[in-house]
This record gives sequence, structure tokens and C-alpha cells, in this order.
Amino acid sequence: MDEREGSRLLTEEFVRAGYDVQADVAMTVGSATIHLDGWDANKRVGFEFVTDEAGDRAEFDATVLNELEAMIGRGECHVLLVDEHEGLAEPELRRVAQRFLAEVAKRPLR
Amino acid sequence: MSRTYNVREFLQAAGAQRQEMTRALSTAEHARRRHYAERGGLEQSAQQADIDLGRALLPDVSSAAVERAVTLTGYTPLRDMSGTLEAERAQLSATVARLEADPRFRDRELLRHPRTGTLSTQIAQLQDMRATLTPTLEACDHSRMATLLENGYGTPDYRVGFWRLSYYRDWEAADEIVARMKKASFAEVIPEFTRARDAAGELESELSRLASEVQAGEALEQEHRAASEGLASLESRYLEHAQRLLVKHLLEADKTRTGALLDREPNVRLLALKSQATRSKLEYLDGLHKEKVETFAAQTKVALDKLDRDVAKYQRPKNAYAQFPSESFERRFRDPRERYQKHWDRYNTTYQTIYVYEDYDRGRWVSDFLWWDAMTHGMDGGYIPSVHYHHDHYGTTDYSSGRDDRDDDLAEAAAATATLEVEHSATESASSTFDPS
Repeated sequence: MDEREGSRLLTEEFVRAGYDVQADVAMTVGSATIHLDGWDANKRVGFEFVTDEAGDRAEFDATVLNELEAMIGRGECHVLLVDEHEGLAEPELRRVAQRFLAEVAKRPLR
Repeated sequence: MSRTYNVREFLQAAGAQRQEMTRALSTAEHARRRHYAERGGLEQSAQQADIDLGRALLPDVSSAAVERAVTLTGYTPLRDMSGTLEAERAQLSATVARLEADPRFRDRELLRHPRTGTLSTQIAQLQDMRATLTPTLEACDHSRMATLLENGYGTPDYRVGFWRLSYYRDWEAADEIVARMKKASFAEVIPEFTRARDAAGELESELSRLASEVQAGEALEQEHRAASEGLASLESRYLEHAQRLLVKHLLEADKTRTGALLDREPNVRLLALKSQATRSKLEYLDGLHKEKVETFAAQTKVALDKLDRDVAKYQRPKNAYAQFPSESFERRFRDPRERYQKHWDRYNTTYQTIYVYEDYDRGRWVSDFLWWDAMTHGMDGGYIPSVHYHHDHYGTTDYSSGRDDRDDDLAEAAAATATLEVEHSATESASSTFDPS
């Protein structure tokens, strides 16, 4: 599954759950700026489908990921991180997105 | 002005000749099959003759029998056999004794009897215990089980963030295992699984140790069986080996020397002559077949191919009016049937003469004796290397001279060949390779 297809499926699930998802949105994480594949700026919920093709690994390096996870841990945002290397098929990706959004619903942001 | 032949006559004569060549090839193929069938029987006879000779030379391995064999053949290395045999007997006996003193072999029934052996019983008990753990281990047999335990899933130590895919994969895997185990949560699965896993590990280790013990014991049983069989067959093995060596020595050694030794026992000498003659028959029949069947067939095929090429050539319109001088035409298309007939007659007569020969008592155990001359009364056999060599060095000898009252082999063989499928009537000795073209 390539980035376009993964992003399309995730966008569908996020929109179905009531999120207003915009593509390729810039976000500041620590001292770095990253670009998320999907992001609802009002609800501060989004996703990133990490692929080699899009050059995501340079952008989402260990420092950025640690900082992003710290932000999620502090309740500043919620971002679903999916790596293409994890070998997802469509049904599982949709199910993961639905479960993630259910978790988000249980964890209001500060 | 001499007569010439036209193309129509050429094609007609070629057709007739082709028919005769094809028939000759068919006869050659029949002779080939017959030879290979008959040589199979002769090979068996040769082996049996060797066995009979070996047994006559050395009936047993006693010292007296060995001395007699040495006296008859001059094969002195045979005297060493006894020492070698006793050394092997001592070695095998020591192996048997060592194994029989080894508790792993001595108590084999006690240890490894399938139902009552202590090792067998222990293995069965451990396998039963392992079987009780199987349901738990099978229920937890999931590709993600190790990851779940490592990450502390189901415990406060689980730290995988819900924004990561592995969080959901862990979740699904754990749900599946919990359902299979019929538990309320993964936390309940963990202690039951780890107990079963650890117990199974200990059982496997013990089972592996016991299996090695059984395997080692069985290897000793196998070693004991081999040593016992070696002891039981010791004398017969040495005897057969010695008999083969004696026969080989006798057939290959200088006959001037062994001939004098064999004179002590004419019956043994007769068996030696039979063995030698039977081997010679095989060699002669192979040589005869090669020269008179294989070479003949190869030459006939070459001639046939040439004939076919010429036929194709003169069937072309541009050659329609070719003329052939009578001398070369008639020479080429002379009726070959009589020549073929003579060829097969000679072949069959010689073959049968050798094949049916059984007058082994006419042989002599000397260097300048040639079975070919005794069997064929000096026919040409120059195409057989050993015959060629012998005739070159010793000349040809007709061993039937002065013994006409006993020698009617050729006549008998000629009569026998009349029954063969290959039809023939005349006999004529030939000294040159038959040219079928």
C-alpha cells in the first residue's frame, strides 16, 4: 500500500468520524517543522502514513518522533502513526483507524 | 560396342540391392540379440566354473586344506590368511565381550523394552505429562505471543502508545489468545502460559536426554549385532575370498610352473581348464560378434546410405538420360545374396563351434596352448587380439590332429546352425573382412 492509498483510506475513516481533515499540513514539533498527511487543526487530531517514497523517514526521525509522542502524552494533540513497513492491508488499516479514533474520544485534549 | 544401362535399369537394380542390404541388416540385428542372450548364460557358466574351481582348490580353511592349495597353485600368500583370520576373530570377539559387559547393552531389555523398560516407561510418563500442557501451549501458540509478553501486555508495564499500529496489533492478538484460553483477560493468561511453557521446557529437556540414552543403547545393540554376524560369517568370508584369490592367481600365473603343480590332481586341473576355457569362449564370441556382426552392419549401413544418395541423384530430371557402362554397373549390382549367405554361414558355424565346445579335457595347462585352436581347429581368428598375439608368437596348432575319432565338433556345429533362424547352407573359412558393398 503506497502513501496515497493509505492516506486516502485514513482520510475516509477520519471524515466519517466527523473530522475535517486537511492534507499535507505543516506542524511545529520542538524545533522542527513536519508535514502531516492528514490534520484537523481545530480538533488537533491527525495521522501520518510514513513511507520511503515520500521521504518521511528524514522528516520523522527519532528526535521528532520522541517529541511528537511527548506532545501526545501531554494531551496537546493526537496523531496516528502508521509505517508502510508494517505491512497493512485495507481492512486492518480501517479497523486501526476506527479503534484509534475511539481511543481519542476517550482522551480529551487539554 | 559394349552395352550400357539407362537410369530406369539403374533404379531397378538399386531397388533390388537395397532390399538385400535391408534383409542383411535385419539378419545382423537378429544375430546381435541372440549373442547378448547367449553370452548372459555363458557369463553365469564362467562364474560357476570359477566357484567350482575355487571350492576344489580350497574346500575349507583348515591348515591342511591351505597347505594343499598352496602346493597345487604355488600361491604362498594364502598361508597368511590364517593369521589375518585369527586377528579379525580376536578383534570381533573383544568387541562382543566389551559390549556384553556394558550395562547399556547388558541391561537392554530392562532399559529399553518397549513396554516394561525403565527408559521406555519414563519416556511414556513424561510424554503423558507433556500432553496435559498441550492445550494451553496450543491456545497460546500465536506469532505475537512473545511480543506481548516482552512488552508486558496486560500489565501496568505496557508502554506502547495508542497512536502506534503495534498497539492495535497487540490488542487483537491478545483478544484472540484470551478467547482461546477462555479467560477474562490477558493478565489471567500470563501465569498459566508461563507455568506450562516452563514445565514443557523441562520435560522436553528430560525427554531429549532419555532419547539420547536410548539411541546410544541401540547403537551398541547394532554394533553387537554386526560383530556377532562378523564372527559367524568369518570363516566363510575368508574361505570365499581365498577361493577367488586362488582362482585369479591360477588363471594369471605362469602356466609352466602352475601346470606342474596341478599335475598332482588331474580333477582340479580339469576344473581349471574348464574355467579358463569358459572365459575364453566369452572373449572369442565377443570378438567374433564384433567383427562379423557389428562391423558388417556398420559397413552395410554405409553402403546403403551411398546407394540411397545415388538413387536420389539419378531421379533428378537433369540425370534422366544418364548412361552406365556395363562393366561397372554389373560389378556394382552383382547379386549379393550368395556373399551374404556365405558370411552368415561362416559366422554361425564358428559361433556354434565355440559355443557348444565342452571338451575341456583336451586342453593343456601350458603357456603355448590356445583354446581357440582347440575349439576351431585353427580357424582364422586374427580379429581377436589374444588369438592374433598367440598365432604371431606360437603359430597355429590343430589340436585335433591324430584324434579324428573324437573330433567332430565342426560337423556337429554345422548341423546345429541349420536349426537357426538365419538360413544358411555352405561353409567356407574366410580370412578377410567381409565387404558388403
